Amino acid sequence: MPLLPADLSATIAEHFPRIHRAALVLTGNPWDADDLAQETFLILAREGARFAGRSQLGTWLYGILLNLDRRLRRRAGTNNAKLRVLWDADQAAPRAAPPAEAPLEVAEWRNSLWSYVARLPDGQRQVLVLRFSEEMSYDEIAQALECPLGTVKSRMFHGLAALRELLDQEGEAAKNIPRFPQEDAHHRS
Amino acid sequence: MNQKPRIFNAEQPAETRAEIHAEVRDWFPTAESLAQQLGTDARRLAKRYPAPNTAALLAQMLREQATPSISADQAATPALTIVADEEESTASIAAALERPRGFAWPLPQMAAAALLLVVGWSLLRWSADKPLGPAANLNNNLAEQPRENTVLPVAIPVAPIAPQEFQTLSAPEREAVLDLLEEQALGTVSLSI
Repeated sequence: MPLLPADLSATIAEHFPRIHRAALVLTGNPWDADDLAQETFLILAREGARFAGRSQLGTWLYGILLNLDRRLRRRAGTNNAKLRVLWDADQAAPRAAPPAEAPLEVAEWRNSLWSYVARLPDGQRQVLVLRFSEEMSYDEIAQALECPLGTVKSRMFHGLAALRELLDQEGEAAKNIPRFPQEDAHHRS
Repeated sequence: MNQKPRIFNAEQPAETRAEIHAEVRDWFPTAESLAQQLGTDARRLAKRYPAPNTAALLAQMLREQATPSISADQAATPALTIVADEEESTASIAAALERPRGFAWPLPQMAAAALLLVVGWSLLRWSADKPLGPAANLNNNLAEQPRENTVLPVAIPVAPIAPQEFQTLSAPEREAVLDLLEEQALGTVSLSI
């Protein structure tokens, strides 16, 4: 089911806000989220003919987004590793100044649970994003991640458990999690 | 708030937000509140940093990007059509996009083709220059002459050969000398090169 250019406007209007929200949760800053979301739709424009329609288009887009995010994180990790090599080689170099590649996560994200989720393994992190941010079903998540249903459920359980362990280790931060959280009154529409 | 359905699979009864959170209730004591907080944080972030209103601009850009790609896919070879029929992994698509767009010159293949061309041309030249028969070895100068002079009617005076010298010749050489003497006697000496 090739996606014709005439469909693009409607497709963007329907899916872009959700893809952008997932990208924002994943990256922690709106700039990378803009880039990731736009690149996702760029891939749709280039490779839309490869979409056969066996899954929902939105599910397919989430799959692309998650792969792009994984690539972004891998590159960031490589850059950090190179910086460490440089620092280790030059002991006299000052380390006080943050590198240009320092993360730009916004405060709202750093103070949210998603900053802890970002420290989980890719598989667990992605399942938590698709389930609790994007409210997708298990079937949709399995299609987006191209993995069995049982794997999705397992990753979700272990992801939540790992998140609780992280919060327990942090101590004070865990206490800030309300028993029954409410919507943020400042941003209620 | 809990009545918002998912947009991706309208045929399937959508779980409400409360159902999504309640499902993890029995996993461990704080699981449900963690799930709720994750949802709340995601919605708060989305409200604070909404998607940029660039849909029209993005659509225009994508339309420009999509047009050559789709036309190329429509003219794909059967082998490519098979690939296109199957929904390709998003991982492979993302990886494929790291390659530069547009026509990429296949430099290794072109170098190999150029090498083959040179080798083929050299073989052709070598075979053209190669002497065709053993008789040409009788005179190297004749072997270097152009191929159009393949048959030269020449009269080669065969010097008298002493029996002692004849005895020293090998069998093929003796036969060649005898042939020359015979042809000279018939007046039809020719030399093929």
